[in-house]
Amino acid sequence: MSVSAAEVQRIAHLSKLNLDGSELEKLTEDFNQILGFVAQIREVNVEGVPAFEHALGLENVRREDDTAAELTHEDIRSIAPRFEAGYIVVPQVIETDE
Amino acid sequence: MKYIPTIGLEVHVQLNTNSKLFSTAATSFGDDPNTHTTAVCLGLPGALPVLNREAVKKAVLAGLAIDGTIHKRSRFDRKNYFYPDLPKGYQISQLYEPYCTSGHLNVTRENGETITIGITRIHMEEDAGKLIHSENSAIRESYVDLNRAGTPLIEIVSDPVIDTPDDAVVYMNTLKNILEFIGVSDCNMEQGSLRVDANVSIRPEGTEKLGTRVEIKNLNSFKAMKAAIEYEMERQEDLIERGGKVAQETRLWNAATGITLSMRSKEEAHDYRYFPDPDLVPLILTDSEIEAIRAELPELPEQRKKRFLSQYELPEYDAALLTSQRSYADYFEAAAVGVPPKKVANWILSEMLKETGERNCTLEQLFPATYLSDLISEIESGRISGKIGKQVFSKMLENPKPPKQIIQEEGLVQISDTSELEKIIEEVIAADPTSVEDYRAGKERAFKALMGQAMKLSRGKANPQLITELLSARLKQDN
Repeated sequence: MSVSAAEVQRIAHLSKLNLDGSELEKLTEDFNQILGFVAQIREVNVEGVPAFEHALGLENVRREDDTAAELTHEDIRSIAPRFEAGYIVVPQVIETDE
Repeated sequence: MKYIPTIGLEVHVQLNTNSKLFSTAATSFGDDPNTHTTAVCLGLPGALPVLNREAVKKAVLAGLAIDGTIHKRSRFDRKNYFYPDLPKGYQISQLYEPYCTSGHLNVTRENGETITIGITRIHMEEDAGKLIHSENSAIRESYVDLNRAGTPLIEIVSDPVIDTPDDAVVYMNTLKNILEFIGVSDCNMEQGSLRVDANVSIRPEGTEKLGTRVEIKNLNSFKAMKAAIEYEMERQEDLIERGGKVAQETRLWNAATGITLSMRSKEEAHDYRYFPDPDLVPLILTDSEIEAIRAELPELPEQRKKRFLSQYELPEYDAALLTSQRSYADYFEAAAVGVPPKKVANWILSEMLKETGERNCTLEQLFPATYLSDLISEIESGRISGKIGKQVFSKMLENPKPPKQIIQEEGLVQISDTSELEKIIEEVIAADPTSVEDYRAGKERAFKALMGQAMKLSRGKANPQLITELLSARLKQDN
């Protein structure tokens, strides 16, 4: 299994990353090496082994419907890129064609 | 060529829990922005989501109410996309193993015909935050409020089997009513606790294969939904007739212009790269847990209507209308204690709903149900006439006070005292000898005129039956 430079470009695009030519080339190579490494797993015989569902082997962790301490505006201001009048400010989001 | 539409509806319902689906922040509406968040809502590193037990219970109630199959095992997945209203970069949802599938809803069309609409699935997911866009287009920024981010939602997906915009409206009304009856959501479209997206496709009549579907968002009312579906059907038909092809896309309804517009921002993001959320373990519901929730399922609208027919002997029309909203049914039952149920239904249906419609309020906000039963029992006991009853009712609308108090304060008790009524009659006869003569000369109509004057003189308080008898007896005497 391998991926093409075009596929890596698409994944970068979905991840909102801009890659230049050399980065793309390097990353495509890295991607394929990682895939190659992971592909070894296919050599293992898993006949009769049940699907591995969760690393913890736990199920059904639930909590009561109670509220607890919330973040303050000061907390958010300290981590938000811009915070004004109670809102986190981001570049304009355009929703339609017109 | 004639085209057949196919409509599927995706309904998002906010569950009315105290805290969010995976975080202990409070659910809220209308509070100051960004005052109800935790590290989980903001997706801060190391924050772990933990599932809210009550949200699961309410979700299961909804699944049982639509006769769905509740799965003993379900799981949460990450739906990845970048948008500022989603701080984690993914929404936690249930794609692969939803908790409920294969439900249905029986809906009754306006002509009385009942049809069944299948429900493909219901899954739990978290709501996104809210974005506010600058009104000044020169300021190229948006404002994020994350109070809503993480609020528990269920998404109810109908089968693509709805044939007309009208059926879509009936489906929504029925679904909303059921959700209100079981009390899992406020179902307030204005506040966004109930939202609907419509998938619309058309195909040539006589063919089987469904056409390409278009998803319409931003439907803020059932009226908007109907108009948007109608518009979209026409748009797709025009497009095909002119040799074009319908693109699979998301379009936004614009209520002001009455058209749908393509949503550019989402088109390329359709690769959500779903995968199981490693932070969350599978949800397992046991038979006994499901049965315990089923035991809490309240009476559904259809059952309640049947009970109204048998227990209160209401006509079909009244029972249907009174169970069309849980608040009507609750109010009716609270008022129909010790008084004739049909009378209660009449007041609610012919007088009170007009008023709630005008004021955009609930029945209970007009006045408490006990006031209505008190008013009816005052009329039934003969303490006041039906006509005075209407006056008292108007006063109750102006200023909600117990009817007994209004009757006392305004001196509206019906006059059933014979001697008092006879005094009134003498006055009327003395004042209008012409009508008296006319009546004695055989003009029946003159009796009505005299009655009217007597009622007027008593300010409407005369016991109508008694005064009719007394007047009639008096006129038979000579002078």
